[in-house]
Amino acid sequence: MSRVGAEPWATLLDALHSLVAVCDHIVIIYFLSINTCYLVLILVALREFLRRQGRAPFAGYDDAVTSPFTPPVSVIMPAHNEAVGIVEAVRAMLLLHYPVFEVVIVDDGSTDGTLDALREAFDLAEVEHVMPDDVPVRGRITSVHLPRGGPVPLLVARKENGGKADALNVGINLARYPLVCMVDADSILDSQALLAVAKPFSDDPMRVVASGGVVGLANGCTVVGGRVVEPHVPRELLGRVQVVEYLRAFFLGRTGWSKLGGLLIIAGAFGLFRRDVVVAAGGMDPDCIGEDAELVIRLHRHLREEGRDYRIVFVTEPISWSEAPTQRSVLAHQRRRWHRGLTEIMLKHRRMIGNPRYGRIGLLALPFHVLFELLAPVVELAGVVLVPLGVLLGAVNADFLWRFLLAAYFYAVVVSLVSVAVEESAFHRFTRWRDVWGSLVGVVAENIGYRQMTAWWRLRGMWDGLRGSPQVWGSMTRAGFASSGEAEDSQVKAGGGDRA
Amino acid sequence: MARVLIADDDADIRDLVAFKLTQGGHQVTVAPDGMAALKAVREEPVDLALLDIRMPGMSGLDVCRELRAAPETATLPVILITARSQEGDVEVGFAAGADDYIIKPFSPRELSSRVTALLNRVER
Amino acid sequence: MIPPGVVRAALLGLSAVFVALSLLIVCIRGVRVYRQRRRERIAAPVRGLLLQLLCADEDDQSELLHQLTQIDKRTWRALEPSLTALLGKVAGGARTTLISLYELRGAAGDAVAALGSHRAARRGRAAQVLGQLAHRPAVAPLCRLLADRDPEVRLAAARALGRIGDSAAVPHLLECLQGPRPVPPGVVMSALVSLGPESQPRVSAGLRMEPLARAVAIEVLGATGAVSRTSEIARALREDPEIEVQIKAARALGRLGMPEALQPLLAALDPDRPVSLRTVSAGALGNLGAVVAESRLVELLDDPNTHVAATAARALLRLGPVGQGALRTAADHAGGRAAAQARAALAELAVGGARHGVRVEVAL
Repeated sequence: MSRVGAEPWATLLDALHSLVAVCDHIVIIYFLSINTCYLVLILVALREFLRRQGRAPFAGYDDAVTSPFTPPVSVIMPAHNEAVGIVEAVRAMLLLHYPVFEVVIVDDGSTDGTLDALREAFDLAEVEHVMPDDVPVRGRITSVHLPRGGPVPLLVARKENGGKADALNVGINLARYPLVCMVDADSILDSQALLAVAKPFSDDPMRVVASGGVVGLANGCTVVGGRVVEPHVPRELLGRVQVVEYLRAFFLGRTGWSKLGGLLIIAGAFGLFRRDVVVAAGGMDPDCIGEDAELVIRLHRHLREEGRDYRIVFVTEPISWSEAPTQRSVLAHQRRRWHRGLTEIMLKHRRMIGNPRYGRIGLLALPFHVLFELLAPVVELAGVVLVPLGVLLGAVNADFLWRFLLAAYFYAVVVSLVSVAVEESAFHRFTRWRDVWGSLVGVVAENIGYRQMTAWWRLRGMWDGLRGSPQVWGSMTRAGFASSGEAEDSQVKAGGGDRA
Repeated sequence: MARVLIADDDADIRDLVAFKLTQGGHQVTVAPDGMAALKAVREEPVDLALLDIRMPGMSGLDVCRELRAAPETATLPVILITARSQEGDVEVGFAAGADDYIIKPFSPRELSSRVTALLNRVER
Repeated sequence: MIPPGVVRAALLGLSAVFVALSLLIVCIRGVRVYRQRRRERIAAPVRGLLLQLLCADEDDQSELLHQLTQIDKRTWRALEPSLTALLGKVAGGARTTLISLYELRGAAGDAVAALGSHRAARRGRAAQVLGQLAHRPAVAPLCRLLADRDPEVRLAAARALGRIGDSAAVPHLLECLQGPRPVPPGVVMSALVSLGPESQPRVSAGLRMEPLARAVAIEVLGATGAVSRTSEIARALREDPEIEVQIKAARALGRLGMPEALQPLLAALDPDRPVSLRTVSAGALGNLGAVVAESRLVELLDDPNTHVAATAARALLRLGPVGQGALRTAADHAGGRAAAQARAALAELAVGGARHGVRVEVAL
């Protein structure tokens, strides 16, 4: 009796044994390949930096400032309850160094007197306005304001609350120049930011449709008059870790992707777009959480389907700064939201993944993002569970494993260290030795501890995205199809986003 | 003799202007960026500030606005050095509170006479 | 799967790389500071001379100039970044002195030779320097560089030709707009505009070239005030098959402000023409300040396209009292859309911040 019972048990155990062993190997291979991919991107970025260094003397920034043919820019800044910092932010924006530009502020139904602060600072007067309807808008415009008497190129619109994407759509409609620059109200821009980010549009006007700028971490930096005057690495560990993370993943990673022709994300904190192309693609999607990334992927889709020769590029000059969360709960919230956005975008545009019709985007960039960005938390957490299980079951040699893990984590640390070295050789933004030390601490902590910690948050965000649960911030609610199941849900959304 | 501050991230222009103004009998303080310019003015008052618009971080316009915002430097004569030549930009400069501006490229002699002219105007 | 020996070796290798990288970061810093100091140390003694030369009166210059031409190669190389930087930033006598220093030193000739270098960065830098020197003998080789295989070098060559200011470069600048290695129109236009009015006859030859060259030529003629070419530009607005060229023509006619432009601009407002052309034409009529256009612009206030209607309202503002009167009448009497547009324009006028600028849809 007992022998009969033990037989299937043994087979089951055997099967589990080999399953865990296979999974462990998959985790290990995954870990190696993700870091190798990062390394390749970093090296591509390094090559690009070195190339640019030799060309800096004839880059022609001075000519761009004086040329009457430098394309004018409308800077669009959505604001929701920003009364504290908005006046300073707008002043800094109006003093950007660029030949012709205007600033369009869209107050998205703030309840804290954002508009009053602006009205007092810039002597605004309400004017009647007829808004073009180039892209669809949900929230009604309640008033439009212009500054009295001066040459100040500012326009402030107030609308009913409808979310950031909707506010951006209003800004796109109100913008009167051929290039629109989307900026977060809490971004700190360098005075030369517009010049740098607009340069690709002058150098290659037939093809460039969008360009994104570097977003650095404002934590720990000295800020005077709305500008970062001295970049530093912050003192707190979570800040240091994020400095390294921004450097490797956002700065070098995106530079690499831009060079490979597969840039998928332009941070909402600072991006410049051709207005006509954004309008043709239907503007921002107010149902999407990562509306910034979604727009770029939709632009790729739209332009590839039209068979146009185009470029979406990343500008490497350090130009925009944002405050990163240093509280665990806020960071958790941010990462959960980001990953939820990524999940939704990938679901919405899943037809493009692996589709040769979309060239490098479909065959290279999107599969990479699904495999190494979207699924990363799943594999990382699976590793945390499966690897000890493998040792416990004796499926994997414990001695081999700990050595291997050490090597793998060490490899990841080295990759991050390479990023720091690349930054140091190409930009050397940090002037103090203390900052170098701080970033070295960040390098180690990012790979051992931080990534595993965020993996849990990212996994939850992914779950939110798959379930399509109602959004937990802002006052927007989905219109009725939240309960219709995952697949249909994303289809409905895909249909909604493709309006043109 | 007057005390003049010159802020420019370009060491060559900074030194050239400093040389010319020293030759003209002024006492010159130099600053490599906007932040240093503000610091220098706060530590030791000057009679006139020459600010380059195109500086990384804080531009000359930013510095000018900061100077205007502080009561002790609110009336400090400011000349902006700019590569801009379009009308609207000059307006932005004046809106930020500049008294005069010099367009790059400039001749050292012209710069020196503009500085003297502005100092005379303020004295009167 | 993987023998433990390999893992151990990998660990060792990684440790070595880790240490090496940490050292590298420190070294990069050190070397950068050292190089900077070294350059400054070498240049320091002659830098004073240079500043003295640039600030000196004409009588004292020749002696200083002589001293500076005699410096050895190493010092010259350390000084050169300062020289090129200053070239673009000083004017008048100081600039003339710098140029003669370059000529005496034979550095302009060296730069011409560097235009043929196999390194793109070197060719680009040489083009930049020659442009700043306004070195006329470099015009021919720079024109050849307009077809360089590196796009950024082509840009540098076009900018340099604009700075040198020799109108012999015009045909080459117009030609380089097309072909497998094009130069973007914005850069070509800046270069052509900085050549000044003397180049107008040669620029007008572009009116008979390919579409892009026609568009660029028209834009440049408009920007340099070539009023004598009004009739040709007006013909382009009427007859050119390319919409891009028509738009440029409409805008140029607005800038030139000649009465002959009136009829073709009014014709370009017809509802069957593209929206972008109609918008630019409405704006151009405002620039023209032609009071006769008033009634047509008032009609446009009710146009189904918001951009056309809004531009017409702003154009009316620019017609002075007559246009403003028409806007007031429209605000009081016209219905719906037209009245709203009129009120919006008048409100902007009242706060003194009228957004005159015409939206530029197509032209980058």
